[in-house]
Amino acid sequence: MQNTVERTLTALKGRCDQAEVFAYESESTPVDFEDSSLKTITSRQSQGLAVRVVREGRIGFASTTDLRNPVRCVDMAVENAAFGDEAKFEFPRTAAAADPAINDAQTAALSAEELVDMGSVFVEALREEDEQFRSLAHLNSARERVTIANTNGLSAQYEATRFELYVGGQLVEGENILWLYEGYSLRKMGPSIEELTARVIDDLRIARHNVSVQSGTYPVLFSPGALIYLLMPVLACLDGKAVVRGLSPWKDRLGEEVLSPKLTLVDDGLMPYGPGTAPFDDEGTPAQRTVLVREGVIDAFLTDLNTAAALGTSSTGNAVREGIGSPPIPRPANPVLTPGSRESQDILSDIELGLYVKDLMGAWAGNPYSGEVSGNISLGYLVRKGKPVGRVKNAMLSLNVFEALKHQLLELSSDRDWSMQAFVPHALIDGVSVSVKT
Amino acid sequence: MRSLLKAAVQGQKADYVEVRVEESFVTSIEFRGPRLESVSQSVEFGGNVRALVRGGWGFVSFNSLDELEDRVKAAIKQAALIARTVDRPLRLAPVPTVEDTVRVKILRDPRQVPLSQKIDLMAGYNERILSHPGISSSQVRYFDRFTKLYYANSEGTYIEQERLDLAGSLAALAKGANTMERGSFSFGSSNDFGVAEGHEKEIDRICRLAVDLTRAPVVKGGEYTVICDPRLAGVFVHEAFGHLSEADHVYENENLRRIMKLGTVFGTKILNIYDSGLDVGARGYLVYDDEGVRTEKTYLIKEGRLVGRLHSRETAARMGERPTGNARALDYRFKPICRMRNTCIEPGDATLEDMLAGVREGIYAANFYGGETNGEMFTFTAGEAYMIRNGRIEELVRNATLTGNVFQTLKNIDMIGRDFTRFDSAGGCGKAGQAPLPTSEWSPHIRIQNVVIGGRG
Repeated sequence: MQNTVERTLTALKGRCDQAEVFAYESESTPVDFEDSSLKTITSRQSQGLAVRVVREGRIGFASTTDLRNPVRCVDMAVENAAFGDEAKFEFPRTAAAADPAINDAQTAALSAEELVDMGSVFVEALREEDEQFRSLAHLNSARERVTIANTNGLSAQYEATRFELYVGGQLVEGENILWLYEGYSLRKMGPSIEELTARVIDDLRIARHNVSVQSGTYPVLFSPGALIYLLMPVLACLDGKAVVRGLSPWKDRLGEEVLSPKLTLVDDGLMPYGPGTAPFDDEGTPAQRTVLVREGVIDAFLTDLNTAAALGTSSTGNAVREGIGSPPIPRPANPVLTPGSRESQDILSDIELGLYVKDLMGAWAGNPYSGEVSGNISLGYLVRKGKPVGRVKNAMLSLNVFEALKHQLLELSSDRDWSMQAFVPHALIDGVSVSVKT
Repeated sequence: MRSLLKAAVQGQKADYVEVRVEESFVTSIEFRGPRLESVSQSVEFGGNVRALVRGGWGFVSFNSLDELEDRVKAAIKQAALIARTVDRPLRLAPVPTVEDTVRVKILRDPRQVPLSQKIDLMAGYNERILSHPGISSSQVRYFDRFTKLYYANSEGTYIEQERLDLAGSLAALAKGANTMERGSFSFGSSNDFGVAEGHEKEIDRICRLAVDLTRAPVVKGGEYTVICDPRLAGVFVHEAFGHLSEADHVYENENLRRIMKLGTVFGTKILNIYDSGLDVGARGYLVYDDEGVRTEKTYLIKEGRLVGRLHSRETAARMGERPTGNARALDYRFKPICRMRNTCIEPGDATLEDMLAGVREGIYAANFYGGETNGEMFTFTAGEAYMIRNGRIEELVRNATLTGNVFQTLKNIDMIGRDFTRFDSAGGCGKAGQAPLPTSEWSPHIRIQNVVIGGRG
């Protein structure tokens, strides 16, 4: 691939002011269990190449997954540059100095058979727990290689591993459907299959009993899996691009307190084996640890090269390509919320009457810049005298994140977990509106 | 390609082998605020092999046709690994063997429209949005994708298909006190660049909407009679019922099979729902699905009763039913699974006036922002919503998110409009990590009793 990248870069010389070639290769072996049995073993080999040029001060982008003719990209990128966005930046000249842990030999060596065995542990345990539960599991080990080179002299490459483990399933009783999920995607194995199995079984035991709840406002303990839906609008507003575009309501509030002083949000691009960890981002900028919100005060916005140039700062190393055909945009690498001091179990046991919400459905659907979050409580428990007593159904939870995380946040837990790409604690929020169908 | 693919799938030690190769050319344009944020063109080339041994599937995807024979062997090896754990061997439901070439009949071909002209059209829309009083930002997106698909299976089917998919969305954003509100409109087609043109009036409307939303109160949570406009009704039928009709959710699940037993009453006599691949021009238009099965118009609900579901060859065989041509893959990286095409509520005989009459307090909900379902419960957010008071559509309200139990809610549809509306949006459907798949949802107005609307206060 290095040769293809160099060849493409050579073809670009003389046709533009600056150019960059990015290439991605990966091999993965996802194993999928569905309906309590092994369903598919996949082998996925993918490769692709993307070209960005700056020509007469404008950016052109093109990509291909047809490596028989990568140079075709050059013509397309040059054509697009006639219309492209203004480039106020220069591609980086030097490679990253940091060498974060991203390559795990054990993960790289995992065979399909070993993944099948691991998945079977979950499926068998759930079969034993409840014959009616239809379990599913997704296990994957992947190797990826990123190569980047530009006309400013940068030529860099890294290899990384990825381990994905998702387990869950469905219980149908009458017209009552329960879905449960646990899992993560990291650069090496995190919580074991046994641990995730135990969590699913715990939920299954509580959640099969439905309890009724009245519409009203409640203190709600959000699990990491539910808290992520409250964090999404926060991250959207901290996206430098949303600031440049004038979409973020925080665009003029750098240095101001916008959230509770209990909240410190860091994007740690160098966290060992974090899902988004790499020595450099998808533009070749060295990865770093960026404090976004320090005790409620906005400290920085996430940027890539062009966004940083527009804001008059330097890139935070957060350029991410969401696919080979997508130009880089700012995205958090590993968003991390600093923990509180008490275990989530202790926080829960102090709730006299409230809810423990573990998953929300449709909560991502609103306009993130309004801060309004509304979701159906797809997995949540009524808590009485410090104990979850059963599952709450047909209930809709609504809050405004900017208000809830500023004025209603009571406490964060000391224990944290991965939720999507983020590493977050539980959060207890007071006065959350819940509408229930009677 | 024909001889290469046909040779690759023949004479293998497997019950079934198929190979798919696709080549796409994609153009996309995006404005954010005054900036033309990205223009990109890409070539996507790739393929996959899927093999069945007893009941086990192996699947290999790749970006290079080199070593195709080895990839077929690898897929068979994986399938055999699963086959050892399978207690019930699987036969695919029989379908006719086909040799066919499908060309798209295009009204205005986006490939003949120069890139600069597409950009100018979108730039014009963008400027119109940004020049509207009270609008602080915009988002204008357009893409077109022309695909050539080559498909062969070990039963002797060989199909070459062309597919066109194009869509765009226009959004106006207005800044309120601590919020950003949005009005949006989108279009889509599988055969005509013409749908991208002439949206000036819609733009003026969405700009006014965004500005008005900044001053609108948040909807009061509670239970309401809701009238959905055709666009939201379309999303409703897709989310609340379409996904439940996908047979792969049902076939190995005894309990869900009981709920989804053909003949079960799901709605009142006025409710008719179908899913069709035959609507030329719809983004869900499809001649053959990704297992080489000819598509059709499949009734799901007739006069309130469940009469059908969306099948792949595997699910049809498992359930002893007929394949319906609903096995679709987002692209060569994925295996085909049961997906919708154009999912429609058939028109009824009510007018909007009929529906409004007698509603003392309700919600008129139009357009959509997003939606999700877990089989039993659904939730979706309207793009705009108004209070209905004493039979009249009154003030605009913000953040109307509808939620409910699928089964109850379908039964609560008490009126269906006569104004069946054909339209396509830029939205795509997501399932099992495969998104956005082009689908369509055509519908008339519908009225639903007792819908929970989330909201504070």
